[in-house]
Amino acid sequence: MKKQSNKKLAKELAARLDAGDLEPTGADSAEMQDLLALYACLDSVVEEPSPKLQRWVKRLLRESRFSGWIAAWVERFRARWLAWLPRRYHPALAGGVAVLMVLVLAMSIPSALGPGLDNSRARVPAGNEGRGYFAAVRSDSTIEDLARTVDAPEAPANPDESFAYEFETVDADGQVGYSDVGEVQDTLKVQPGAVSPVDAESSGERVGTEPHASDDGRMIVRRAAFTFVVQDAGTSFARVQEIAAESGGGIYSLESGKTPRGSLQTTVSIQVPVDACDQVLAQLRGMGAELLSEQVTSQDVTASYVDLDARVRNLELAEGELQELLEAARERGEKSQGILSIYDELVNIRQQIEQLKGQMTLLEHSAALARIDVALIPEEIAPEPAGFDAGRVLREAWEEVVRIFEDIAAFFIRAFAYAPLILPPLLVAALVVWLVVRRVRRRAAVSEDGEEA
Amino acid sequence: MTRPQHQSRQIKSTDPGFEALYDECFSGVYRYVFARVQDTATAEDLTADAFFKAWRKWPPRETNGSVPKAWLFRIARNLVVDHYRAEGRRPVENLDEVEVRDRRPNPGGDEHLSALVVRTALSLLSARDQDVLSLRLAGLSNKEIASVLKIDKGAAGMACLRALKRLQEKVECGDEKTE
Repeated sequence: MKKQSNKKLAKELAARLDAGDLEPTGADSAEMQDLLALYACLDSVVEEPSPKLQRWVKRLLRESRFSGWIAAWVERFRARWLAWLPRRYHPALAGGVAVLMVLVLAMSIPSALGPGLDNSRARVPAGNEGRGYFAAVRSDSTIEDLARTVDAPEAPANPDESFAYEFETVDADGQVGYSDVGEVQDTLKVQPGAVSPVDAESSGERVGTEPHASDDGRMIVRRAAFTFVVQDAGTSFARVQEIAAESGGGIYSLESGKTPRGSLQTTVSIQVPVDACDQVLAQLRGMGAELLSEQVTSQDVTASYVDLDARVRNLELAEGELQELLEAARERGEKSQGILSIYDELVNIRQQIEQLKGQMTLLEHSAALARIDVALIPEEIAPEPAGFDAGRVLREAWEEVVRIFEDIAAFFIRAFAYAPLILPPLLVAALVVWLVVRRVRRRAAVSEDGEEA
Repeated sequence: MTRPQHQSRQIKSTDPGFEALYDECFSGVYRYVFARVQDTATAEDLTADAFFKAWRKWPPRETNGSVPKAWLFRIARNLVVDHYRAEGRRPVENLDEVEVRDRRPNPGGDEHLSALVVRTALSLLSARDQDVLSLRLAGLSNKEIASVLKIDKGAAGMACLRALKRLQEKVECGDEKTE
């Protein structure tokens, strides 16, 4: 009975409270009147929030609307994935770890690709200097372009008359690699006409070995060095090669590579007959490229040559006398020991003669062929003129921005390419973490419900 | 009024639903929290924290069929519980332990004294009774109280009646002690 009356009382009380009618009336029971009065008193002691507080909180909530999605993502991540961690979540620490992971990933992916070939430079393989070896840079198209410039327009009729030009690349760490270059072209055949005199000499053919002396009988070794600022190093290289060939000379060595911005940079050394040197220098100056620097040197080696010649002649006289002495000794039937000592001295003199003649030949060759180094550098790495140029600064800044974006794009492309390798273990790890988190959260929810109950 | 502790890492764009909930419930949440903690500064902090916490979690993922209003009051209720836990306070057992802070004018008047007794008596009730009465004072119906406390609607009505009766007993007991 009492339960029923309580139930009824509870309903009536709820109805009065819901309606906000707290004023006791005569129809109310005494108990109801007391309860209403008590509730009204209780209601009066509870403060209303100040309008200032309400505005303040609302303003803060609105302020957060523009800066929030990253924080919301972090917060959700923390709530969903890091809630089970026993320690307090530190955004700065987590951010540091994330940055570290990205850096490690960024460093590991290029290294996983193998020896980096960016910024690779070309070089002549060891032991083959001066044989006209043609080195290549990383870009396949560049390889083909350069190959075309030195290749003969037609295939050689006789393969034996051709020279092999090998490619190799050298990465930033100095490691040599052939792999990706080999996919393009391993060797490049050139016609004998395109071979430098040095190559020809090394194959047994002597070019320009007659002692060359100036009109007054002096022997002069000439060298020159040019630096040109060019727009297209490949085209300029072809022009240099053409000038050398017209003068009867050829390429001595070539080094080519890419600048950090991807332009081709080439340094080529040519050797031309000294008679045509002045003409070649004039042609180089007038080939249309901007001449950045020029250096022409001459070295008089006449004294050295004359000295060598005199020593050779003296030794040859001594050699003749020793031969006569040897024949006389044999005729006299002297002891073997005496004959052998004369013979040893003859061999020694012959050896000295050969050495001195070799040095003379070298001088003759140096005097007969002038060596000209031509550096073809793109505009981007040419020394900037002095003074402030806002346009140049802006252009450089823009190029840097473009390069940065290219690097970022390259990183993501590599990451995408490696995704099949990286993603499966990551997904498995994520699945394990998710299962653990879900289990912990469920346990926490169960224990919370238990506490509430 | 201190700055809410989570304010610095807030949150997504505003939502019309949340703004409506804010306008509808701000006063009620404050009254509920104030009735529980009986301190203006603490009530302001906890109220602001409740809305920022709700803002971060908005929209509610799962409300067990209840309306967002109940979800919001559950957040406020949990904050009050956390507040008591953090302060290491335990419910008072008698009037001598009660420290009443009342900033209203005319202290010492009859009306003030009766309000003081009622507030003190409220703080002497069990946490469950305080919850029920505070939610009622926040303007929630029995159905909404039932949703917040995850109980039956009828049980909520009975709980409200009984809490009020126990408050009445405490007040009468306090009056006798005062006299």
